[in-house]
Amino acid sequence: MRPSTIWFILKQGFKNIKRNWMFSLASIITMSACIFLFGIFYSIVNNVNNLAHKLEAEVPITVFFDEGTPEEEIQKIGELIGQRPEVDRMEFESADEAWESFKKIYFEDEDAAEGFKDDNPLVNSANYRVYMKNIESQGQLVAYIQGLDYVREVRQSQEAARTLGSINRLVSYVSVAVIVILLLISVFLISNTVSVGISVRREEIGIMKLIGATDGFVRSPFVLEGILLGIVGAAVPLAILYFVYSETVSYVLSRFNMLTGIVEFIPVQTIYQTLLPIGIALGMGIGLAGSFLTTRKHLKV
Amino acid sequence: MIDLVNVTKSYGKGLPAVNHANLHVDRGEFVFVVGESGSGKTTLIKLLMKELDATSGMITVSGERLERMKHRRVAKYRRKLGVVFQDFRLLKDRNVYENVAFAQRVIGRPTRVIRKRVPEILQEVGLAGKYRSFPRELSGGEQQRVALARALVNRPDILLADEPTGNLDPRTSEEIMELLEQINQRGTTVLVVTHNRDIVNAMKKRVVTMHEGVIVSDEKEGEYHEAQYDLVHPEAGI
Ligand SMILES: Nc1ncnc2c1ncn2[C@@H]1O[C@H](COP(=O)(O)OP(=O)(O)OP(=O)(O)O)[C@@H](O)[C@H]1O
Ligand SMILES: [Mg+2]
Repeated sequence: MRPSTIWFILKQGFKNIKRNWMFSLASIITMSACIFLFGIFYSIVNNVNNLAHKLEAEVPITVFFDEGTPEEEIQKIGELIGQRPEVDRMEFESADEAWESFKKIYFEDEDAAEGFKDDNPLVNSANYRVYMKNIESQGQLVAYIQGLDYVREVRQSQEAARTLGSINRLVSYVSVAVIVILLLISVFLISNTVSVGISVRREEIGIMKLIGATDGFVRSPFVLEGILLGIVGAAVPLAILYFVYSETVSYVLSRFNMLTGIVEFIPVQTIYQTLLPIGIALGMGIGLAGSFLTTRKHLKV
Repeated sequence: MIDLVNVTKSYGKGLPAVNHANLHVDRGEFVFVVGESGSGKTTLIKLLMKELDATSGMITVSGERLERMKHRRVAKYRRKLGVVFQDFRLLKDRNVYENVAFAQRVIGRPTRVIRKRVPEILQEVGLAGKYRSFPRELSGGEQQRVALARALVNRPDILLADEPTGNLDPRTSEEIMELLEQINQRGTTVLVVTHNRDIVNAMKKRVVTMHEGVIVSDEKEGEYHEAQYDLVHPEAGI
């Protein structure tokens, strides 16, 4: 297509929007609501995920062995656990190391611990610390390890991490449902806007066809109209959300300053590295879907 | 160039609007189609531009069989035709210049060509100086000329004109007909539907007469005969 033809089509697309501004505005607003909510859910899910991951990284499962388990068996068990797909990484702590770190925490006075010098009270405390990739597979992994020979005890990480995982899943489900509904409404409204535009210009379209315009030429201003509405409907809420997100984060952190250090928010720039392209693509996709379907339905002349 | 074999078009019940029509027009011919109101002239033109499909029969235009033509091909086919519609069909919200330029934009001509060609053709149909007017600000005759300019701007192989002088005074009608003749002399096949008896009789062209959907006469250097075919009904299924 020639640049002048493209330019012409572009101008027609803008003209459609202007001529039809009430409907255009309505579809932009719905679309904005949809993408705004999407952005909020996206931010929440990502932040909760982030938090859960941090907890997962910090809270391992600890595996202890039966009294007198030989070194080789411990090593074998280590290899077996290491092969599991759920496992991210693991550390071994010998009885001596365990005693050392225990001393550091509980005996400020070195001498007090000296009494146990040759008689490590934690002689059976050699252990593996297993860090998981995904907190949700914890139960599965624990069951597996407990089934192994020589394993005396598996100490699980805190419930908190797991709860977080299930909260995240719930948020994801709810947000997917809400977003799908809003998505359908947006597609419907865009399609409505475009079909109003088409019916207003029915005569003109007929004339265009009679003087040799291809279906594509007739359709493209309408499809473009849909895409433009989609982009605007995505850009507006994303801009607002950018502001809202940064404000919320700094408000929460200043208001509840005991959270500082425990809860860490993903910086808005990082979120937007993915949210921006996804949001814009979503808007364009909605616009394209709504207008393309409508023009296919109504422009068979 | 144009070939109709046994073409019938029915809009529904009742007499077909075009009834077993047979017509052959060679490249470069100039043909008048006459007949009283409702005799099927406009329907014939709509069939030729594939705005309508024939109920039966075979239409061939510049080597293309219309009844078999794929939907996707129709736009390309129509670009070979220039059509002046009886009701003009101008775009109401565009000025004269844009209405004519539109026909060029539709087929993807570059702006540079459009800027040169549109004033040229507007000059030719006698509309220089009315570029910025909108259809509603024009007289019937002026609108007709815009329609003509739009039909001619792409230099079509075939010009189909439905009453191109219907709203014009005798002098302007003559001018327009002269213009059509010039275009014909440059090689365009021209088919003109008209009620203008004086012009038909003066120009000594081929005249095809229709009556109740039937082509009742087809004469070289013919004349416009007033309704005298009431009793003529060929084999047509009546
Ligand atoms: N869309 C339509 N639906 C039903 N009947 C139609 C339609 N268009 C035309 N007709 C009928 O077909 C017949 C031929 O119409 P057509 O428009 O071809 O006549 P015409 O020769 O062009 O007349 P005029 O000189 O008044 O323009 C008429 O009887 C008309 O009523
Ligand atoms: Mg007519």
